[in-house]
Amino acid sequence: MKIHRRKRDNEVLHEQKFESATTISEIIDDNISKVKNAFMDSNDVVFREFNIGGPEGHRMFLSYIDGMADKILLNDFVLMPLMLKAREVKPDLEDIRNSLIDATKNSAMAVTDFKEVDQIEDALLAIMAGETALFIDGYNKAIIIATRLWPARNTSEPSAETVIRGPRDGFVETIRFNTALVRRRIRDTRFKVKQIRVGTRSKTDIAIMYIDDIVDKRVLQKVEEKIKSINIDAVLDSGYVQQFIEEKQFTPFPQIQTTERPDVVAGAVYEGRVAIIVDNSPFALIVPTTLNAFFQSAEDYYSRSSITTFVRFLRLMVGTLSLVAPSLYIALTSYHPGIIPNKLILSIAATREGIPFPAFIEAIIMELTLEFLREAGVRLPRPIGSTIGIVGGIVIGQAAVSAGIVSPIMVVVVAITAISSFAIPNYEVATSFRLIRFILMILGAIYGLYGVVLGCMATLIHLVNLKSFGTPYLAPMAPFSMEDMKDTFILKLPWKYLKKRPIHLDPEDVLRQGGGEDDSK
Amino acid sequence: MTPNDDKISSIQLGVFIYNTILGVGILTLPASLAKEVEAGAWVLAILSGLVNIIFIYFMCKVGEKYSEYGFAGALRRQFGKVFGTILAIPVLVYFVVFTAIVLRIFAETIKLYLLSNTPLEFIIFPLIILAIVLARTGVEPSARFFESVTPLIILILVFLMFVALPKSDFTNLRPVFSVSPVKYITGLKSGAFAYSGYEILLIIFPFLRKPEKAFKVSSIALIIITLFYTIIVMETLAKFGSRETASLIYPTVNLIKASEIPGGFIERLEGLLMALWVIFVFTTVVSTMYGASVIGGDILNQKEKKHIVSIFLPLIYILSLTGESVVELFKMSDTLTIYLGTYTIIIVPIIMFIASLLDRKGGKKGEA
Amino acid sequence: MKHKRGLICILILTLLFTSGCWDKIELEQRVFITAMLIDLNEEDKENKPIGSTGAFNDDMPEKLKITFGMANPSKIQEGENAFLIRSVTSVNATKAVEKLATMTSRVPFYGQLRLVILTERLVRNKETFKEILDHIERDAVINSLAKVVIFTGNPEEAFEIDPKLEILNSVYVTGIMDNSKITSETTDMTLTELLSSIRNNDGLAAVPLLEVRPQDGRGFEINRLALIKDYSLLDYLDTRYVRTYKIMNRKFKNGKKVINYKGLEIPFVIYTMNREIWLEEGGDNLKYRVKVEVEGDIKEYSFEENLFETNTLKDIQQKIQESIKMELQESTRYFQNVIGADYLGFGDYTNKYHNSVYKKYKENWDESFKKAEISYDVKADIRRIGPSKK
Repeated sequence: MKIHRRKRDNEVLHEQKFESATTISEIIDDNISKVKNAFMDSNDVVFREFNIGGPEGHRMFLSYIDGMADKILLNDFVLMPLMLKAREVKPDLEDIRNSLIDATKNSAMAVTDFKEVDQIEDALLAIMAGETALFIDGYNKAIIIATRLWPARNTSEPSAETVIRGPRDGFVETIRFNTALVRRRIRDTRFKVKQIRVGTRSKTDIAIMYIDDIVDKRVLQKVEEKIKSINIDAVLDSGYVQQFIEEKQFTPFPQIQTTERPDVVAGAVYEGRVAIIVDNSPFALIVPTTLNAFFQSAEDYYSRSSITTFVRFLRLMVGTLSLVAPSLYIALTSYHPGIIPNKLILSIAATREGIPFPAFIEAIIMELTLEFLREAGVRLPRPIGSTIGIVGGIVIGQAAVSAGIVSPIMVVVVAITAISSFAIPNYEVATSFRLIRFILMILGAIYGLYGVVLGCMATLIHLVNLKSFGTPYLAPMAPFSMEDMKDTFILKLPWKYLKKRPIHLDPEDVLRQGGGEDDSK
Repeated sequence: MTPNDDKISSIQLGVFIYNTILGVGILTLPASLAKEVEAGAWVLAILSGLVNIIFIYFMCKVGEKYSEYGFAGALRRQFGKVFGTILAIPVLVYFVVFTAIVLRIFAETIKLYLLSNTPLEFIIFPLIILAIVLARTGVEPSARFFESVTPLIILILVFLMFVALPKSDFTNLRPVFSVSPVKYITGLKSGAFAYSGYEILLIIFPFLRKPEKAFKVSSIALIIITLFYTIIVMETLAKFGSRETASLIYPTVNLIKASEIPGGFIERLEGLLMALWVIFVFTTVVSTMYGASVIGGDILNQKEKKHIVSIFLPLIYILSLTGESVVELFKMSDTLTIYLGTYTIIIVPIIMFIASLLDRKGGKKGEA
Repeated sequence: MKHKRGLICILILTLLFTSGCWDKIELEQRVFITAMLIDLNEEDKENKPIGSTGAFNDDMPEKLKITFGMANPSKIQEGENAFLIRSVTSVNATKAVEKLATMTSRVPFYGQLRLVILTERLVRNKETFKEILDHIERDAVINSLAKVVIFTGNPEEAFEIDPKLEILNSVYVTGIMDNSKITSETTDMTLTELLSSIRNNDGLAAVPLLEVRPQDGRGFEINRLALIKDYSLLDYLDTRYVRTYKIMNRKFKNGKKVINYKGLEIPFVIYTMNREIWLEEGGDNLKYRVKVEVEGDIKEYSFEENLFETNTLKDIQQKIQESIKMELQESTRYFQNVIGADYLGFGDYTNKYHNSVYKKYKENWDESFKKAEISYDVKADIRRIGPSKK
């Protein structure tokens, strides 16, 4: 109840705020008091009142947030010309007064980017975003000077999606840098970056990027609708947006691709997908996406196609292995030992001699240990993390074997699972596979191979019913598209043969080669 | 973005038909054919496959004409409301019993080769639940499921073919005509029903994007299956000879049992392939179950097919558990194919075809 | 709704997991039967009446004595005592497995069976032999790729033999049989092959014969065949005729033929063999023409004798052809006159390629085979002579 009422209060407050949206007055003192009132008790906000043309000159007022604005720019190119350079010419007060606004805007301030707003709220928003608001006495607009500058991380190589061949830049936490990284790769006027502000309090910028004449308009519309309908106080990361716009939230499978790589985003946009970049998050979202995309790495498109095909085949095998390896071990050893070759089964049996637990418990112990290690490895500081990996892997495995808790073959199986789950290019899918692996293990313990197959079929039924913004999750396998087979789970033909964009995305302009006139003409 | 109208494309139809036919028939086929015509079984496999194209033709012609009405709707249009409904009911029964028998034969083989102590109920139950979950989602997601398992199914079949090749004596395929040609004609009866499953064509037309392509696509699917079946029959004969083949219940499983992978990282294949064969059965069960729900929905004038599927759950489950022994089960299966199967696959399409020739107005919705 | 569905799934899984797992037997709880020797239990015959009331199993005559050879996984690394042997007398084979379970601490598992040894005594008894054949075919778990041999000699001895290079006795025997690929005298047969051969030929089959080496009695050898006719043992086929049997049944893969050429015993290694049969019409009796083509290498000649010479090779080739032809003819005569049954595949050929002819003679095929005129035509090619000229 309490929470409910508070929510109501909030809404009222919110409404009031909007009702009180006021225009900027011509009297500067009104404006000053409004701004100061709004930023009451905020010590990081700087208010600066000054006169131009001497003490009795014209009054001006500027405000910005310390640490988010470029002070050098303000000092050298705004205050300097206005306060000092203005004195060097003999002020013809009457003249200046008449054309003060023009003179300030056009001949005094040496900055490239400014705009004018006439609502005090807009001015406040701008200040909060790191801009500087300049109020002039007798002028009913505020000049917003683009002075955003804050300590930001340099672009660095994304740690989760490293490639050997390919660009090394990655997204950072600043939306503008990120859009620029993508824009650099798409010099096309039809490439659009649409910005929406989400979050009633955080006012986070979200950029929707697409190429106008390629993207499927229905997808674009859906993305915009969904983003606009987000009603939350704050959006701290693209993960917030992802959870809001995904169709099914309880499935372990991500229906939106996340990436830190601008080249991946650019590639996706060129294919007709929509990319979403959220301020303060280095992870861009790509929709619609298919399971297929999670098994591809950016590198695939830069290296030789035969190698890529081989690597993709490996990934498919590795993905399957990471899903079923432990459950197969359980099913084969405790249900169908006839399937394993004679010599191998005898040596497995020999190693299992004296192990106190059934295969299932043994597998669960080892798999859980693996998960603990992984989690611990992520949390620990980086230099220690790798040590934990080695210590955990070798020492615990070895100790468990010699203590007679698990059999050596189980350690092999777990090691294979661990390695193969890391070989899946996308971390999120690897994680969901981890979850399903446990369910398969239980089914394998109940029904043997039959259970494993049942579990896999159930997973497949689930996957078949997933859609990412209208695109079936298993496309282009199901529904099948011959054209798209050229670039899929396994096969990847050289670029020369990939004449069309992925058909399953329904792009408006299908041809990638031989179509689409040059924009510059 | 694919439109959300629960309609399937031509490729999906082909895959649908393909996966529906491929089911339990493949396990018993070589034996029933070898029993009829000895070493000529493979010829009979081809013949009976081709014979089915005729019925596919009838079904497609009728279906195309009345594609908006659906199966029960078309029957009602042709023969009046009451009589049409009466004609449709045996087909519904056929689909239900067919599903039950497929499930039972499946469970029996799983019990025989994989899980000898697990109760039959617990083998059938999870599969039936999964099938209902999938069938409830509609024809398009089911078709997508079929599409995604098709590569695996083809892989398994091709694998099986290559693995079974060594140590075979292909002179066993002779003599082709040691028995009188009359035997081939009578043998068609049991041979042709091994390909049953395509009768799903009766109900699927309202869900097709391009009904006019149905005949071509389903014939291709059938021909591919005929090819697979023929190769399997050939290899079984080559491995065992016609008399041993005829004396087995599941000769295909024995074929797998008698095959080994060179290099030997898997000792015995039948466990693995039996487990993967679950997928074959599952697709068959899903589509016949869906077929039953569509006819049921049409008869009850119910638009929402989802819940009709669930109604069949207890019915199919109980039906699949009746039948005392395996011998009785196969008797039941034979009876089903002889009476209801003949009715559904042969009689109904033919009378519908004849009636559609008389019905000059055609099936355009505007005139209804 | 979603949560509930997930919850129900987890509940069902837990329920199944705690109450289910019907077939689960942990690996270390199983014992792997790798070999079994099936023998007739002759001691029991007099003790119990043939017809029993049927109320209790132990009233029934225990006509079988089955010895199971089981691998002991924990001892395999050490090599000592890796092979566990238990003998069971029983009514039939299935019951024997049950009885075995009453004497071992673990669950006997058939699926890794590698070797089935049938004793001579058993194979002579038609009814029991048929029972065993049915058991093998009807058991779904049994490994149908297991090898099968017939054993002459004392059954007690079979498992006492030291496995020599191998750890297990079963591996020892199957290893010998695998060598049929490289020798012309050893033969190989799996359960499937035995079953289909017997079924398709009305009880006719030639099964490899396992013997304790007569020279020293301390090892096995397989170079003879046990001929089964009408579901019981007919005769043994001597080593000298095995090659002909293998050639005519297309089982010949690789083997050596030693020929005498100018006083030298030259080994000719055959690695490709092809045989074709033609039926020639006319006459009262069947007339067959058989063409055998072999390819191979000369492995030995004599030091300082030139072999790199077309004419010499031609001569040797000629000699090989004659020698093989004589061998084939002699063996065929042996089959026709002494054995009196068609193990050479002529009936099979006639059935497949001249079905109408076969139907005419079908009723009394063995007689027709005995009377058939069979002529051979051998073509040998020497392809290589090794790396030296002289």
